[in-house]
Amino acid sequence: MQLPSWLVGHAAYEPKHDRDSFLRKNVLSLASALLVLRTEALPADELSALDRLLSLVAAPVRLVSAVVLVACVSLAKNMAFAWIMLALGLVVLCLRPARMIRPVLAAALLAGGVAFLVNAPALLLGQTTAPVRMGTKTLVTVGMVASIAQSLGPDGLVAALRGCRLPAQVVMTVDLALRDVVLLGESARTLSEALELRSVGHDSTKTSSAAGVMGVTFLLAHNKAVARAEAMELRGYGDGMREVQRKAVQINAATMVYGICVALLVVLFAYLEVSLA
Amino acid sequence: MHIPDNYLSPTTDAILTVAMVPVWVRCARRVREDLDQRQTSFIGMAAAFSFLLMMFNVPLPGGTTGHAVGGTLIACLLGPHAACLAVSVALGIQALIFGDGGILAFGANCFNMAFVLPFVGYACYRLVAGSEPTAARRMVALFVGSYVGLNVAALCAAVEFGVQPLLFHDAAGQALYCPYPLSVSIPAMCIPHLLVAGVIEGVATVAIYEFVSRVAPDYLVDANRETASARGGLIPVAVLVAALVIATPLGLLAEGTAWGEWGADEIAETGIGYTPAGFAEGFEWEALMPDYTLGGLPDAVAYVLSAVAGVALLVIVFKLFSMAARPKGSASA
Repeated sequence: MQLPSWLVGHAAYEPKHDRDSFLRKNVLSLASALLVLRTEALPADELSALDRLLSLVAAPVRLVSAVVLVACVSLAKNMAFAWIMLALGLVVLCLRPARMIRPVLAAALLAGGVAFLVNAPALLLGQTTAPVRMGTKTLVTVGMVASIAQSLGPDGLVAALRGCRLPAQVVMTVDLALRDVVLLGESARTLSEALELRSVGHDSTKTSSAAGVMGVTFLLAHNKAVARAEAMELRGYGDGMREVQRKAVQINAATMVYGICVALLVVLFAYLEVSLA
Repeated sequence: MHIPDNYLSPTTDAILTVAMVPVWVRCARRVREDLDQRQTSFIGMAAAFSFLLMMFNVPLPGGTTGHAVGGTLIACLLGPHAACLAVSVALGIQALIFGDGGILAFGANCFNMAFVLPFVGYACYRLVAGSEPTAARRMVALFVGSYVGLNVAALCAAVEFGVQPLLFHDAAGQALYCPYPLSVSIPAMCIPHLLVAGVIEGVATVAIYEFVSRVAPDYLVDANRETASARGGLIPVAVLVAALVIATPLGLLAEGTAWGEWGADEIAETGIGYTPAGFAEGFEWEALMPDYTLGGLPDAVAYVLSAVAGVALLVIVFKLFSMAARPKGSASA
């Protein structure tokens, strides 16, 4: 069979160079950030010794403790408590494997950096410490939340919410949202990679195409929500979730020790606020 | 030996920083080629020893204080290239967060303590140890290498101080930066290091190296044949690091400022009678925890907190760095 001339001819096409850093650094990284909330938990032998010990603590207790400590750091007028929590957070983080450290550190540094920038105009007013204080507090609190979310995993988070006696509908909404966010992240990443592969040469419309990816992701989210609502209606959950009988939170030795440590931290916060006021 | 800001001219700072750039690049490449993931991650623990040793100030003749560095220790554990990176990161954390060492003088401090010290120390160690040293010979080599490395680094710092009044002075002859000439800076830096700090560096290096080679021999790069195949764990090393962290407040017992680390308000009282213009109008960095203190907390508590934060940061940095390293057991490219 003879191939057509246009097929065998030499194609001297050199695509023009185009900058796609916006696609890589903004759209892809935003989409990929959602994948941090993966549903699968790390196997036990990959966890640090401290995380294996913490897994013995009741999830609701860990969640409530995190909320309390975040409140303490946020309310602290003296930075001493924030620095102490930062040091403790760094210790917990340094014991984890590298691939667990990176997402937590990235989230905390990003949030702390944004807080610093938002408060940076205070420097013009002579408030040199305000941006550092806000940036540090944001870094510490976001780091704590990201760390505990990673340590508990989506299943642990949902179990913790259930243990905190929140309404079943709230727990289910959070559960479904955590799982769907991962799916949305994966689809956004796939679309963005396809867009990147198809962006050969100079493409003046790539920014609007990238916006299209986000639009498709939102549409997908809407369609999933509608489909799930219809599925629940069909299964008899249209009037709301039935309240199931909940087990009492197991207070074991690890939970008691953890609770005592958190209580001591709260006492330390109160002491520092009073004595250093 | 931490040179603060405004002691060296911006020109000197720039030259030494530029000189360090190819060193850092080369060291990063060599670490990626020579060390596997586990060993690269272990650099963080080794850097923690250096960070903690630098927090243990000891009194020196003349009323000043000094400290060990541990650069040769890391060089003997993981190679001089790893030592350069480890000490550089430790110095960076000290300068940015604790105000120990200048920001503009970071290149100069790295040149002395992260480049000269470990490379010279390691070369002396290899020279004295030979190819297959006995345990006693290795200990002697470790002591001699670390002693020589620290003193050569101190000499470099002394020269950097001493040339400032020669090169940078105003029309009246007053120094713009460090006011002490070579005839003062060299004896002031070198004699205390020769008599005291070098000995402490040597003893600390031997003790920590022997401990690590016994409990975690498979992490070492230059392990001798008897221990290379033995498997070890990092828990004893972590316990030693924790013990050193708790003991860091002992470094507060040594009073007095190290030679060449006076502030702008102290320099005029050292005998020169004036404050060099570079001090009065120079760069100032407000560290988060200056001199390892924290407003309102007792010094000892703040010192321990600083040690905890510094060690944790170093471990995190090198764990992240190890993600780019080759897995354990795979051959280097």
